[in-house]
Amino acid sequence: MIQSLAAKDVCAKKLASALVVDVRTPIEVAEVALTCPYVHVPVDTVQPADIMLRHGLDKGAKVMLICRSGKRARRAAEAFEAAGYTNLVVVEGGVPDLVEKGLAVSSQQTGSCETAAPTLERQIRIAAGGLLLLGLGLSYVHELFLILPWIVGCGLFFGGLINWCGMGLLLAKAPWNQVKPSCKGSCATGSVKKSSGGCS
Amino acid sequence: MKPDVRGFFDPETATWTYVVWAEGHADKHCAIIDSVLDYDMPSGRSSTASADKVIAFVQEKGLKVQWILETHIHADHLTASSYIKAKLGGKVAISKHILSILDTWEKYFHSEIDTPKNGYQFDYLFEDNEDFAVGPFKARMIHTPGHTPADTTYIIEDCVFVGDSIFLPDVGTGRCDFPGGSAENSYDSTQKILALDPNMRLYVGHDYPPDSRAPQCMAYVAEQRSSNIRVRHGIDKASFVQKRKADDAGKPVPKLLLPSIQVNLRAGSFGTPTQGVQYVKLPVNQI
Repeated sequence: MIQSLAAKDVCAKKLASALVVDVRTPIEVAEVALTCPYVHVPVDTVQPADIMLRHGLDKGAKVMLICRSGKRARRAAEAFEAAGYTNLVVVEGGVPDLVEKGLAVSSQQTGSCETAAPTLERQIRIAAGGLLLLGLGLSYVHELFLILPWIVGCGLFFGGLINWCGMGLLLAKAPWNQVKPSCKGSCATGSVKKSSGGCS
Repeated sequence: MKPDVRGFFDPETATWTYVVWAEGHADKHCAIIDSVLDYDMPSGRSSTASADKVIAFVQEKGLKVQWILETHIHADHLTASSYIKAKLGGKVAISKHILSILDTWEKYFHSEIDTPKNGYQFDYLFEDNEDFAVGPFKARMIHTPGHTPADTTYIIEDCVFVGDSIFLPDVGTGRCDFPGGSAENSYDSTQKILALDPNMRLYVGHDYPPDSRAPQCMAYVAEQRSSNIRVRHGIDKASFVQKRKADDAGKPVPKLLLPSIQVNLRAGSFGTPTQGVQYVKLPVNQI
C-alpha cells in the first residue's frame, strides 16, 4: 500500500524509521540534500529489488520516497509496489520544503560544494528567457514563431500551478549537470548542523 | 529458491545482524548471524534493545531459530547469542578455531572457571569446510582467518556472510592488528571469498557509511572483485599487506574491546556472579 505524508509532517524520527530514498537527479541533490541517511537513486534508474537487497530489507520494510514535489516519488513508489513491496510512503512536497526544519540543507548554506554549472533554477530562468526572446525575435521573420513564447508561457504557468517543471527535469539530464560523486559527497556530508527535527 | 535475508544495523557499533530464512516455505527454520547486546562502558549497563528488534522480527514471521551463528569473537560489540537462545532457542555455534583464542586471552582474564578452554560454552563448534543446513538451504562454513585467527565465513546458498573479512567495496577489509591477526592470512582469505561465483551476495559484518548514506550490507562478489579498495583484482599480496600494516599501526583500541572479548568468549554471558553481582574485568597495563 502506498501512503502519503505531507512534507510539513516529516520529522527526524519518521525519517529514521524508514529507508529514505531520494529519487531526484544528481544536480538537485547537489543543490539541496537531506541531512538524514538516505539512498540516492534517480527515478529513471530505480530498481526496487536491488535497493532493498543491498540494504538488507524485506518486502514489509518501510520505504519513504521523496523528490522535489512528490510526483517522481509516487512514480518510484509504484515501481516498488509492482515489485511486491508493501510498506511505502510518498512524501508530498519535497526536499526543498524540509530545509527550514533542518532536515535538508542547500549547498549555498554549507558552501562546501562549488558546482561548475549555475543552479538549476538559474538555468531554467536562462533557458525560458532565452526561448522567449528567440521566439519574439524570430516572429519578425514569420509570425508562426510566436508559438515559442506561447509554449514557454504555458509551461511556466501550468507547471507552476501543478508544481511540475518539465524544463527542469530535462535540464537536469544535461551533461553539464552530471555532478561528480566526490562533489556530491562533500555537499551531502559537509559540516551540516544536525537537527533534532522533533515530531509535533 | 533463494534465502531471504533481513539485516538489522546497530548504529552504535556499526554492526549488521542478519536473519536468514525461506519466505513462504513450509520449513520455518532460520539462522541469526552476529547479534548485538548493547553495552554502556562507563555505567556497566547492558540493554537488549537491539536484540529485541531481531527477536520481534523472528516472532512476527513465525520463524524457528535453528542456528545462532558467530562469524568470530568480536572485539567491538558484545554478542546477544545467549540472550536470544534463552528467548527463542537454537544452537549457538562458532568455528573450532576459537579454542586458540580462548587460550590467548586466558592469561589476561583468568576466567577459566566460567570460560572453559574446551569451548563447552558454545553449543556447537564447526570444523573447517563443514556442511550444515539452514531450513531448506544448504550451508557451509569456511575458515577465513586474518582479522582474527578464528574468522569464519558462512555460505548459505548464494549468500555469503563474511563477518569482518571483507567490508563493502568502498570500505575495504577488516583490521588485522588484534592478537593472532595476520594481514597475510587476511589477503589469502579474501582471495578465497572472491573466488566464489561472481553472482553470489556478500553480506558484511559492519558498514561505516558517511552521515548522508544509509548503511548498506550487501555487494555482489563481482563488485568486490572489481572495486574493493583493498583487495580488488590487480592488488597483489605484498602491496595489500604493506598497506594493511601501515594503516593498522597506531589504530586506537576499540572502545568495547575488553568487555567484548570476555563476554563473547562466554557465548554472550556476563559470567558467574560473585555474591549475586556479575563483573567485567579490565586488566591493567596488559593490552
